[in-house]
Parts: sequence; C-alpha cells; structure tokens
Amino acid sequence: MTATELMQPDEQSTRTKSLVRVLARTLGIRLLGVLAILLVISFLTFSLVYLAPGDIVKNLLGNRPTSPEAVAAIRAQYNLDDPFLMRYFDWILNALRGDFGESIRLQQPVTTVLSARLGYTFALMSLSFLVALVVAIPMGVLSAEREGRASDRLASTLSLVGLSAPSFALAILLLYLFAMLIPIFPAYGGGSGGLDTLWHLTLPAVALAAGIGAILMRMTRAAVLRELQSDAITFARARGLPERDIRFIALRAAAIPIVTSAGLILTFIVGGTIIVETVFALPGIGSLLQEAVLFKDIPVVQAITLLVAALIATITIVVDMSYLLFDPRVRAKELNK
Amino acid sequence: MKTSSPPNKRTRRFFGVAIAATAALVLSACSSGASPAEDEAPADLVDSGQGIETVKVAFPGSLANLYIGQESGILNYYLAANVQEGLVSLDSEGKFVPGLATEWEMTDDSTYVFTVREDAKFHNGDTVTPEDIVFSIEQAADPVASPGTSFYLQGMASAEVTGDNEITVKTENPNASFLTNLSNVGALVVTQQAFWEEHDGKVGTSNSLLMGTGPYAVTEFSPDSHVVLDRVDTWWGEQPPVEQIRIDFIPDENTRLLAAQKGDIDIAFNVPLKQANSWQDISEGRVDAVNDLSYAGLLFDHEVAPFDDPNVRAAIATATDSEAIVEKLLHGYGEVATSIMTPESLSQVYDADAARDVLSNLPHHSFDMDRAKELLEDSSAADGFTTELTYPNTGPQLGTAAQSIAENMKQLGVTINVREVPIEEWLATIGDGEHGLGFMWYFSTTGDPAEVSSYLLGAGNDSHFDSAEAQRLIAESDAALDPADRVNILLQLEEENHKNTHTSPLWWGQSLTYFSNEIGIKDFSPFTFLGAWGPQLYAAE
Amino acid sequence: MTPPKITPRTRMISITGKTKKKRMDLTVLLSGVGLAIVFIVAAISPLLIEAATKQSILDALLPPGSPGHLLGTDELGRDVLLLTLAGTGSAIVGPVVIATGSMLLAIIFGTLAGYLGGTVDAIIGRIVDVLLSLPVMLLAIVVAGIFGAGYWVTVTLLVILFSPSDIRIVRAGVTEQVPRPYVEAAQMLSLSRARIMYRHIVPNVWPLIFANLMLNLGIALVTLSSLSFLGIGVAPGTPDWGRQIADGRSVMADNPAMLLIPALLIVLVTMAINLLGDHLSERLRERGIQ
Repeated sequence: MTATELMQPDEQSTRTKSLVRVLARTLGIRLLGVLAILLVISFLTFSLVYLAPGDIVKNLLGNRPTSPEAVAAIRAQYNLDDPFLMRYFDWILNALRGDFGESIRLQQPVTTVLSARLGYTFALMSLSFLVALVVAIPMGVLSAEREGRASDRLASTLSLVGLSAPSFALAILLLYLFAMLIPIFPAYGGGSGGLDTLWHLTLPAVALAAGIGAILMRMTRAAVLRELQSDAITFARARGLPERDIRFIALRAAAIPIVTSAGLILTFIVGGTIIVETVFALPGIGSLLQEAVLFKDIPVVQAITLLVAALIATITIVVDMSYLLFDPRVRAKELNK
Repeated sequence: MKTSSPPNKRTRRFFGVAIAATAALVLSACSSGASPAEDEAPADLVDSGQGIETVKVAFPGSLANLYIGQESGILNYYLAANVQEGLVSLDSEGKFVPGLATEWEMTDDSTYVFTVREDAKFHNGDTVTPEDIVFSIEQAADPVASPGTSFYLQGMASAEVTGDNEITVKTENPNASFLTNLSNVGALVVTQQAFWEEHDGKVGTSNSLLMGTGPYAVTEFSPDSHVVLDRVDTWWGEQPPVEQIRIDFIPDENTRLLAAQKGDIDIAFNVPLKQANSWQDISEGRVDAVNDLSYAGLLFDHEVAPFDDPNVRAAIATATDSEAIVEKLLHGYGEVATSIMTPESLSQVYDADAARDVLSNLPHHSFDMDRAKELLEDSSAADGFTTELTYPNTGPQLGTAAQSIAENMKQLGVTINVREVPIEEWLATIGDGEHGLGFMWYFSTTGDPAEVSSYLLGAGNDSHFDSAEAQRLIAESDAALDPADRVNILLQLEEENHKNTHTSPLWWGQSLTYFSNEIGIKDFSPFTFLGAWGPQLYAAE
Repeated sequence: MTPPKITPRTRMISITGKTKKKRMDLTVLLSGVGLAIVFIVAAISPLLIEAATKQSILDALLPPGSPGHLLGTDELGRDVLLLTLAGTGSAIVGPVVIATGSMLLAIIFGTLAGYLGGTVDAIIGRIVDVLLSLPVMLLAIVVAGIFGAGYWVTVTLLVILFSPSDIRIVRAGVTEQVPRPYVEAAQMLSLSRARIMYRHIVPNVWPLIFANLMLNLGIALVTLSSLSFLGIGVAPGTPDWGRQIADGRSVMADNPAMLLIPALLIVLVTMAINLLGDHLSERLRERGIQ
C-alpha cells in the first residue's frame, strides 16, 4: 500500500490539483527559457552564417562575367550593404510577425520550401526512431533479464557493432547489400509518397536507427539490470511477490532513464539525418540545410536551426516532465517546493 | 526506362545487348593503349521507331531555379534547352540554325532583323507574338529580373517589334558575338509576357515552373529531388518519340553509379572521370565522351605578391605537367590546353583538326622542371613561398591536379597548400584579392571563341590586371564581323597572354555521359545538350 | 502495490548486486592488445606521413596485392597501406582529445553545478540547454568554413559540443553524492568547497566519469570520421580514414581496399574501445564496492 492509496479522496484531489498547478508553473518557466534560448541561437547562427566564407552575389551569378548593375541590384535586393546588426533586427522583426522571409537560393518563401521538405525528414526520423524503439527496448529488457546468457551476449554484441559502425559506413553497406546485390530496396530518392516513400525510407531509416538503437539498448539493459539488482527488488522478492509483478516494478523504475535516453537519441537523429540524406539523395531538411549553409541562404538556415532547436527543446521538456509522471520521488519533491 | 514494346521483345533485345557488350569488353581488352573514349565499342544502335514512355535522367547536382536568368549553371542550360527557345539555336556543329526566328539578317553592322516563326506556340497553346519575344529580351537584359544573363545583353541598344512578324535588335557597337546572345545558349529563352506578369517575375520556381515554346514542358519541379518534363503537342518541330523525361538530382556520385547499375537510370550527365571504369563496366549501357567546351586553367591574382612577378607565374606554369595530368588524372578524358580558346570554339572558321593545329602552334609553357627552377631563381620569390590553392568539391579532377602541381612545386621550395572547398566558397575565392593562385574552371555555353578569353583578360578581370594591349585586341575582335579575321585577332590575344603568363591554360575538358543501351541519341556532339536534346533520343534495339 | 519506500539508487556502494564471476575475456584481451597496437601506430604515424603522401601518378589505382603495394594504390599513386597507417594519427588523437577535453569541462562545471546548486546551477544549466539545442552538423559545417576546415578547429568544436551531455551526467552523479554522510562530514570539518568537490566527491563519481569517457571516445571517433567523410575537418591529401572512405567509394571497382580497410578499422577500433570501456568500468565499479 502506497501513501497515496492511504489518503482520503478529497485529500487526493487537492494533491492532484496542486500537481497540475506545479506542472503548469514548471512548464511556463521552461517555455520562457526556451524562448530565450531560441533568441540566443537565432543571433548565434545569424552571425555564424554572416561570417562564413562565400558571397551571395557570386553564388547567385555563378562563375561568369557580370555587369556592375547586376551586382548592385542583388546587393540592394538582399540588403547586403546594411550593417550586420540592422540586418539581424530586420530579420527578427519580420520573424516575430511570422514572416520568415524568402529563400535566396530557391526564390521562394521559406515556409513553402520547408513544408515541401519536412515530410521526408519527419518520416525518416519517426521511422528510424520507431525502428530503434521497437528493436532496442525489448532487446535491452530481455538482455538484462537473461544477463550473462547466450541471448544476452548476442544482443550485447549486436549493440556493440551498431554502436561502433558509423552511419555513413552502414548506409554504404546497406546500399550495396540491399539495393545492389539483393535488389529489393531502391537506391536513392524519396519516392512518390505513401507506401512508396516508406519503401524508399526503409534503408536510410535502418542505417540511422542502428547507432541510436544500440545506445538505447545498452541504456535499457543497464537501467533494468540496475533495478533488478536494487534493494527494492530484493525486498519484493523476499516478500514473495510473483515474478510478473517484480518485473513490472523493475520496469517502472527503469522507465525514467530509458525515457531520458530515448529523448537524447532523438536529438542524435536530428544530426544524423544530414549524412544519411546525403548518401541516399533524400530531399529532406538535412540536405536543404547543407545547401543553404553553403549558399549563405540565411533565411533558410535560420528557419531550420530554430525549428531544430525548438524541436530539441520540446523533447527535453517532455522528457523532464515525464519524470513527474514516472518517478514518485521527483513528484514529491516538486510538490513540496 | 519504360518502352511501350511487348515484354518478350524486350527480353530478346536484352540478350542482344548483352552479347554486344561482351564483344565490346573483349575488344577493349585487346586494344589497350587506345584512348579510353574509344574503348567502348558503341553497340550498333538502330532506331526501332518505337515510342518511349519515360526516360530517366540523372543530374549530378540540384537546380534551385529553372530560369537561366536567375540561375545560370551549365545544368540549367541543359534543362532549359528542352523547354524554352531563343531566336536562334546551335546545331550539332555549333552553327546557327533557326529557333523562334525562321530567318535573320544584318541590315548594317549593328542591326539584326528577325522574322518570327508563325507556327510557334507556347505550352498553353497561345501563339507566340513578337511582343512576347521583345518582352523576354528586355527581361533577359534587366539586371534585377535576370542577374545571370543581363551581362551579355549590355551592348544592346534596342529591341523592337518592327512588323507583323518582325523584330529588330540593335547593338550599340558592332559586336561579332551578339547573335549568340539571342540564342538559348546565350541569354535569351522566350517566355510569355502574361505568364511572367502572373508570377510577378518569379519564374522557374517549384510553384511557377516555366512557360516556353520547346518540345517539352516542365510539369513538376522539386528542388534537391527531381524535375519532370512532358512532351507537348504545341512545338513546331516533329513530335519526339520520348513522352516524358524525368530528371532526378543525385549529387552523391556513388549513389548515382549504384542507381545506374540497378538499371534505374537511362542517361547520366557528367559521369565523374575517376569512375569512368565502373560506369563502362555496366553491361546494359555505354559511356560516351565528348569535348564539353570547358576550360580549366590556373588563375593568378596580379595584385597578390609574389604573383605580381611574371617569372613566378611562368615558373608555376612551367612546373605544371599538363600531359601527365590529362593522361593520368583525367584518364585521357581531355586535352592539354595550349590556349584559352577551345578547338570547338573555332568551328565557324576551322574544322576540328585544323583548329587543333592552329592552337598547338601557339607558344605555350611546356613542362620543364629545370626551366621552372631558373624562372623562379630569376624572380622576386627566389627563396620560395607558401600559398593556398583551393578547388571546388564538384571538381575532384582539379583537386588531384592541384596536388600534382603542389608536389612539383615542393621541389622548387614552394609550398602550395591544397584545400577542397564547397563550390560556393570556391566561387568567392576567385578574385577575392587574397588568393594569389587559383583555378579557373569554365563551361562555355555559347562556344563563342572570345567568351572565355575576354572574361579572363579583358577589363575588370578576376586577375586584377589591366592590359591595354589585351583590351585593344578584345575590342578589335568584337568589331571584326568576319569570323576568320576575328579568330586571327583572338590568336594574337593568346600570344599576348602567353608573353605575360596572365593566366595559364591547363586542359580542355571532356564530359562523359552514360546512356542505357535501350536509348540512342542522334548526332552526339559537344553542342547536343545545348539544343533541344529530348527529340534527339530514340528507342534503340 | 509498490513498496512503501523506494531507496535512493545506491548502486555504487550497494552490496545487494549479484556478484558476477569476472574472467578476463578473450575478446577483452584482444581489444586491449589491438588498441595498444593502434595507439602505438598513431603515436608514430607523423613519421609515416612523408612516405605515405609520396605520389606516383604512374602507379595510380593499382589493385590490392600488387608488387610493393599490398593494399594497392589510390588515384594519386599513393600506397594505401601506408596511407591507412599514417591515417591512424588523425583517427585516434582527435577522439582522445575530444573525450578527455569534454570530460574535463564536465568535471569542472558539472561538479560546480551539482554541488553548489542555486544560481550557478541555473546558469550552467541554461548554457548546457543552449549547447544541446544546437545541430552539431550545422555548426561543424559553418565553423569549419569560417576557420578554414582545420582539424584542430573541428576537434575543439567537438570538445565543446560533447561537453553539455557530459556536464549533465557528472552533475547528476554529484547531486546524488551531496546528501551522503561523507560530504556532510567533510563540510563539518570546514574543508574548502573546492577541496570537497574535487578531492572528495569527484573520486566517488569516477566510475561514472570513466565509463562515459570510454563511450565518448568511441562516439568521437565515429563523429570525427563522419565529418571527414563529409569533407569537413581534414585537408585533401591528408591521410585520414574518413576521407579515405569518401575518396575510396568512387574507385571501389579499381581498388576496394581503399574503402574497406579504413571502414573496417573504424568499426573494429570503436568496438575495441567500447568493449574495453565496458570491461574497465565494470572493474572500477567492483573496486568501488569493496
């Protein structure tokens, strides 16, 4: 019997209400923090891209003779002669109004450009995350429960290989194996939507999932193992609880580190997409970002960095909030503040 | 590729091709030493006369915008050539042929009168009016609307509709290369005024696409992914056999190779030279090499010490083993350049062999390490120096050439740090006043003999030197309306360049194109992809 | 149905864990020996660079097994075996610097945040948040562009980008230690805060730090080679495994060894690092128990 179960009904509802209040307060503070972070990041990337080598005029005109009028026209169009800070403030004022500007490279509104790409990257990320979760967590749990046995050793070896093989090497290997030798998967491109896209994204997703899955598997294994060996479990065993319940207790306690690491690996996926998208010629955010950085296409770089940063920040918040749901100790601490 | 032939016939054809390819392998094994371009005995391709549903093409890089006035890379020109037309076009020998103008004449030194084709229609079915053409010329000349092409039309004085089907264009001064600029390989791709205004001038994006008069219309464009061209029934020419051309952008060269090996690609543009063997090994296809009108050379910034010293420049040029570079690093796909002008650019005056003779007789720095040593000892940098040489990631052959040059210069006490940079960053290093040594890598679209040399040696060049003599020769060549006179003047310009080593030619390039053996192409030449090449494709058997 | 009270996780000094029989695994032994060899080669690799970068265009793209070139040559006629050996330096040195560097940062700042708490914790926490929200690849591309794609620039950047998650880990470890009696005892003795943090607490989180150090070493090796695969961090012509793989892909048909050998080496070395890391951290933990 837990403390909560001993409480009177109205006492419990007060606690639930205060939990909601605490949650809202924490969330509010965190969201403000995120806004501040996004502001800092927007300035940081803006100045980095501004300082980066390359010249928008040359990028637009290419390697050919040009007239001074054309150069002047471009400089005027993109306000290249304005001081740095002024250009930044111009950008941020427009961004605050929801106008993220127009891509210099693609001559289209940033929102149009992004929405055309987000689908692929989002599908790739979700698919590889899903693959990693579905394979790694059960494998980690099983591995922990059968610590030292053959299945554990096999799973650990697999995760070791996954952890040690760079995703680009894996991508190349998968391409040669499953697109060339046994040609069951396409070699490039994002497909034409629906199932076809899923088909095209399978190999890239697996290449991306291997590394993160390996990390997740190891974390899961370690967390479950730790719980299985904890005093609580020893105590539960001593009380003669059925193995099923013991397993539940251990898993529930292990959930926190697993969720944390799952959140962390989501941020790895975001970085890993660039390489995988390059090798598989996928028209996603990663390749767009790479092109945009090289082209000094500031509006696009800004939009993507902020989007990614916001995404990562959201994941972090969700992960931290999940402590409250999973861990009674953290919940108690927050409530007693 | 999908052909509309019955399946059993396809199987039979496949075997035929396989046997032909095996024969080709045996042949190439016997003929070692022959230039690689001849290695692949072309399977005897015969036009089956059948239609083709889709031809799948791979481009080595993405296009960001389809309008050449906005983005003017060589791939943009290749694509636009199927979709839009200029007043005139180039045939497979580089000679002018009718485009949207059926005929033209020069009424005086600086006046061109064009008769507009009456049966020309836009893809939406509207008839092309002379007003549309004049509007397109004006947009192409406008630095804001068309930053990529406005340079070429700077010398234009006026463009007017002068009759029902007549347009008159005047230049400010006599200009021998002006007609080129009114073709699709120069600055003019005709579009409809109403279409342009509807999209507020933002044409060529994935939303607005293009409006043209060519044999194919763009129906889908997704940057970094693909572009789809569909055959139209509005073109004035004969209906081409290929219904659809789907172009995929596959920047990663190995993914591209893999896709071709799987049979996913019918035509691949610009096969990397170092991968030539792998592409040739694909049994269902062939690799054709043609001179691509490209020029590669060393660029010196005359305002950056020690490159202000002609002896330093000459020393580097002399220490460059162009023959070995072409033979070993370009795998023979190219020619040692003795001038800035390519042999093809002389095609209005000389045939291919005569042009090579003339150009090889020009004075040039031939490889000689001892001579290079003397030149350097005679210079302001006798004790050696250190410099950086950057090359674009899209030109790995420039990188290997750079490393070979660096290796030779090391023996003379000169350290050259070779650095690969993204093409965008490389563009910015050209003429930045910091990089004394650099590459010039230029793909000519027009095949005009003065296109590159006037850019490299004329006023406002990226080497930051002012040569009165060079500028005089360029002006003289512009005014020389007789092609032979013009080439003579330009040859003098080459000698002037050699005397001062303003810039040092390395090689004239070749491009490799991969074709599936189910696809044939008529009249494959350096100029093929600069004209409407879709109609040139046929189903082979 | 949960037990009335969940004891704080006390893994490191717990005696309830099943004591496993640890034997010197053959794989661990092999990893150790292999890594030792790789580290020695890495140490002497600067001496090999001169010979490795010797070009001979006439001998370009020889297949593996050619006389005088066991693994063949690359497109500039350089010996692939020598190149691979010389490339060990940039493959190993950078990751070692990255792993130790980011761990040092983590020990300093993580301990500060975890022990002092309050404003210091908040400031460090926010900085960590900012760093964690940066897309690593983007920064690497941009920064490498600005500073000229140098190896050490990339390494320094990775040190900084690796540190935030390390700081979080160390902070968490230290936070766990703070309520312990020995810390209270040290405070009662009015030892200086620096002394308590770095002499008393840090040694207790050492197993955590060490396990993470080895994990980072492996990840750094993979990350650095991924970046050089993309052409970031090493100049062309420099012997480097990632670079060699990128170059080797396009000449796969002529000399497959150019791609396969460095790729295999990256995987094997990383595996050895991870295996050894697992083993050593296990041992450290056991020693912590006694």
